[in-house]
Amino acid sequence: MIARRKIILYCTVAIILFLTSWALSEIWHDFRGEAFSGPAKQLDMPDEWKQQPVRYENWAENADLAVTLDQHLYPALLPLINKYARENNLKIAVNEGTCGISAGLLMRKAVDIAGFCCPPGGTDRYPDLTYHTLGIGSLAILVNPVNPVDDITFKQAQQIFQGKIHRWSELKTAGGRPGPDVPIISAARLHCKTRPGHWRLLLSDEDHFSARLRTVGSIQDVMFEVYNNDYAIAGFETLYMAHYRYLQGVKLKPLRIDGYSPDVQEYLVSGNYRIYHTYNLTAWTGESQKKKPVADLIDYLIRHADVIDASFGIVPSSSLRKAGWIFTGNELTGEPAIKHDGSS
Amino acid sequence: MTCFRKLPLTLKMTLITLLVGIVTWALLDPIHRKSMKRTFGEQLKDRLEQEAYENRMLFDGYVDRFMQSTKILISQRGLQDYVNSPAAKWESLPPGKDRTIYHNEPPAWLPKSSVIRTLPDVHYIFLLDKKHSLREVYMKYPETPPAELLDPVPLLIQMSHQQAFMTEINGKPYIMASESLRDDHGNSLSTLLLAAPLDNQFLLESQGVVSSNKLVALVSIEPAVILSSSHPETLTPGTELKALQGSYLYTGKGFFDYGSSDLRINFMTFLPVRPYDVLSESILKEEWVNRIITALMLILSFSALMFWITKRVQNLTGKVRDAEVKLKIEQPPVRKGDELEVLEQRFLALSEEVLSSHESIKEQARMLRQERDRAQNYLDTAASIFLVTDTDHNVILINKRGCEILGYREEELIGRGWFETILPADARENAKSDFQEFISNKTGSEIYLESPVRTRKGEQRTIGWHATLLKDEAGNIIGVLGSGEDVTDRRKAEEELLKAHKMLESRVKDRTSELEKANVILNAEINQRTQIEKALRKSEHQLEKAQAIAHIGNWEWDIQSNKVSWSNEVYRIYGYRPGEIEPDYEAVKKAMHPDSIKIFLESIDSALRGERPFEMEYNFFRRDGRTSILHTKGEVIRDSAGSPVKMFGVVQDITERKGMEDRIRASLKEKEVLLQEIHHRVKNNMTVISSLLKLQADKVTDEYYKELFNESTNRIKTMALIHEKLYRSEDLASIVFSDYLRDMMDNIMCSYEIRAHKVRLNKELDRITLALDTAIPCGLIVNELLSNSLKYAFPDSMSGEIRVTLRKNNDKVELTVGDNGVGLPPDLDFRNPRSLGLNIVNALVGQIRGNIELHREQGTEFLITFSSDNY
Repeated sequence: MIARRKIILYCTVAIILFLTSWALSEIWHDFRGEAFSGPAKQLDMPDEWKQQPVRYENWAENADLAVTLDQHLYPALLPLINKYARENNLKIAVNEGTCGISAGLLMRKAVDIAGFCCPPGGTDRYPDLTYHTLGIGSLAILVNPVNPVDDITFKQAQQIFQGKIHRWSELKTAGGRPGPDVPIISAARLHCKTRPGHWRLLLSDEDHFSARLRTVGSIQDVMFEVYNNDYAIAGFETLYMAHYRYLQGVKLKPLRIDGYSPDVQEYLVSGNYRIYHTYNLTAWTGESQKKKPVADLIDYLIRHADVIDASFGIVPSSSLRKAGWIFTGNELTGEPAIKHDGSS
Repeated sequence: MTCFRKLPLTLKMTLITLLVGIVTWALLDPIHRKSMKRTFGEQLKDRLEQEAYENRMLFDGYVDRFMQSTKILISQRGLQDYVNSPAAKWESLPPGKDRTIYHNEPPAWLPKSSVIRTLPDVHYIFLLDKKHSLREVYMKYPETPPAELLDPVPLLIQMSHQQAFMTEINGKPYIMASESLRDDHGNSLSTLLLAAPLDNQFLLESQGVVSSNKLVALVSIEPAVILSSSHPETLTPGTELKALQGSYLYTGKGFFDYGSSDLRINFMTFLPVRPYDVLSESILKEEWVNRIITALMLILSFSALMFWITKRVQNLTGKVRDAEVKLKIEQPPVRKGDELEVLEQRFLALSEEVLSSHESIKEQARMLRQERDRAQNYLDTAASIFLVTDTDHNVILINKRGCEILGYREEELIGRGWFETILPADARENAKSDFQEFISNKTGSEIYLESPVRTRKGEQRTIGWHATLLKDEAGNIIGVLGSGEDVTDRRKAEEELLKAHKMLESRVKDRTSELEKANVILNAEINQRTQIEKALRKSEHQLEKAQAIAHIGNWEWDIQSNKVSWSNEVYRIYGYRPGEIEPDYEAVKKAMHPDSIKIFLESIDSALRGERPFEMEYNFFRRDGRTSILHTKGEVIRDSAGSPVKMFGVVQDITERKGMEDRIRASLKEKEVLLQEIHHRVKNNMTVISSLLKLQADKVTDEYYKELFNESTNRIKTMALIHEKLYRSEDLASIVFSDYLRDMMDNIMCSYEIRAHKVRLNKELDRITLALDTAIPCGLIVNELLSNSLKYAFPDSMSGEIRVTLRKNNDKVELTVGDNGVGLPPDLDFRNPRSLGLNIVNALVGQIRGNIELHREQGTEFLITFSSDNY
């Protein structure tokens, strides 16, 4: 009799402990990944590679400078670069690509400046290469305009993409009523997996995302997933891509996270909106590069970042510095210290 | 062209339709084909975009499967056991190319073939040790891996780690994915690297077996050359893109959004154009055939319809011809043409004829209506009865006058028997037989007869009828038209006339004898009138002479005709010879002084309005340059309504008279001044005399004599005052006597001041003007009587009242001087007084032929009455 009671007691305690640890694991584990990588660690490259000068490919033949930019920075910076070229009587070849193309061209030492929409990862820190942060831009979580849900918490966003929240009725609409009782279709483009930031700012690892997640390969596919499904949710793209690049005339609805909208720059600057791109430009520091106006161009672009068209949603690094973001040199390496109840 | 016109309508329309159809087809067909091709092209482009999207989705998914496959393989228990097993021998064997183990069959560290087949088409699976040195290679195909992969640079491993990485290896695009097997501490035990070229097979596999007919390719950006394709037999690698233009539609994306590819290549989808061209051509051809058949069917249907219409037209043309025949219209010559043209010509001719006939009929109907209305007016306004009856003597028509005479309304007579309704019973039979005889045409077509009628009121009257037979076009008698006149009164008058004629004849006889007597008297009267005319002419001559002497002429103005006539003297006054000009007052006005014209016109207007008579004087500039002063006067003659119709008057040359008046006026003025001066001097002289007497009186001590001097002084002052009044008066021959009396009595009162201060003088004086000859005596009379009252009426300082009145009483003047004093002595005979004063009074009353009375009832009152002729 007494033994049976002991067994029951022990089992009960075990269950309680299990549940508690599980709950605690849920509470303590934030799932939010690293925003930046440490700038100190560099790749180990052969000496021949280190001594190799920058050699342009055919697309930059006879240019004074060769610049490659990812598809976010290219439309935003091209006017400024052309203006700089006119004012300084330079021929600057600009290539539109991706972070991967930028990384590849850097590896082949085929460009003077490479532009990334992500913070550098471990495989991006080549020797004699410095990173200069132009600014940051919000990454929105998008839903179809017919979806009545406007606002979710950061925790709910994580749970949606983890697959722990299955139906829209588990969320509230603006009027306080539950959302429609339909399954949530989640989609995402999990790009730049070797780099920190971007989608990792919601969930640190791709394995944290639900097995039901529809992974798509291109930005356009992200938009179409939401456009074609009334109750889809997709991330993580800029509002420029959503409203101007792919779906002109169709306004997909960005959700507010903890009440903070991605199209209000103050929320991003203050650190209250927590998912964003980090726009960086690279420059070689070798002797041969010092003859070229690389640093001058980068300095020009950073100084004039505030005149970039507001539709691109780029918050210049100067604003970030004032708001307490952490810089190492010109590279953004840390977020401002902020409690996510709104106070700093 | 003429031959074409002659063709039958059906054939003509068919040929035209065919021609139009062919031309339209020739013009529109190329446009239609072009439009169809454009539509096909757009559909094709839409299809291409859709396929490109789907193909890339498939490619992205296939790429993603590489990474997934790596994760699946790394998690296999077999790999984990092998790495940890002694069979791996990695600890003891250093790495090296010659020590790398190559497998053509799935080794122990990989799943069986059946599992590997489910994975993407991985060409090589590399097993690396914890230091990333190559140990074993599985080659799915009998191909040696590229050298770079046999000695993979750590970077490659890192870049492909946990992601599918696409890069160029040995000049060819490759896909790689790697994953590490880790121990419990997270240390890498081994790394699995999957690799496959992005070759034709890869592209084919990426599109799935089901979609194996899809054409996708990897195309380099510069130059635009196909690197690999899903169907190399169709899209040969190495082919330039521009060579494929025209044969294919293609689209694609320049780079991959994975962030894990450094390849600058396009993933493009191709759609061959030719199959669609062939399809569109076959569709167009099919449609062309259908259109031909449809057109032929339409033409046949149209021809049948036209044939039917042509038949109807021919029928209609026949009917038009029949109508022409019936209407006896001359058939016009018809030009040769198709059925419609023939119909048109015939119909136009017919319609012209009908329209002209219609217009003619309308015009005739209008004229007929006019005639009818006119005839009706004639009938209604005619003073005679107009009656139409049929052969059975029923009334068909009767005019207004007839109804009035007979006293019936028209509707009461129309249709009824004339004889039964209108004739008296005793006259009917005769009338009917006469009527029958008449309409049998035995007595001729016209007849006059008189017959009695009885009016509605029962009055019998006699109507004289002029009757005429009415016949139709065939000459048959259809009725009788009668024009009747009420001869009842005329008959009576004829009888009366006969009687009167007889009477007249007897009177004529009597009268003839009287006329003979009257003739004699008349002759005498004529002689007398002749004498009078002579006298009248003489009188006119004398008048003219009198006018010439008096320079007065007479004029007459006929206002309505605006004609003016002057007597001969008027001509002379205006400076013309008699009859020299046509009398015209415009000429007269022109010769007037400008100041006189306005007055002249206003005077005329005023006279015409009846406000005042026309009379004025004006300066006139004669033709000979002299200026005359004319006086004209006129009277307006009005008609019964009071409107002015004539004006006649006289005009006189008063130039001489005006001159004389001026001279007389000047002379009178001189005399007035002289008279004034005389009165002034007389007055002054009398004042001097009065002053001398007063001076003398001052020297006299005896009161009696002083009183006498005072009395004389007052008398002289009284007369002097009159002369002073006359001097100051405008009328030097008379004065306002009442004003004079006031001044004079005041003077007397002043002269008797001691006695006068207790006596009140009461004056009631009418405003009377007296001539000098009367005023002086009256003044002296009042002076005497007033003085007497002052001296004697109030003794012992008695107070009292003296009254002096001057009144007009019809044509008499009554002067009263009285007082309420002690009165005259009872024995005083005032007509024979002993006092000088009363004697003077009596003498003066006699001088003015007046009468004096004395009343003693209350004091003393003298009443002097004299005639108003004196003033």
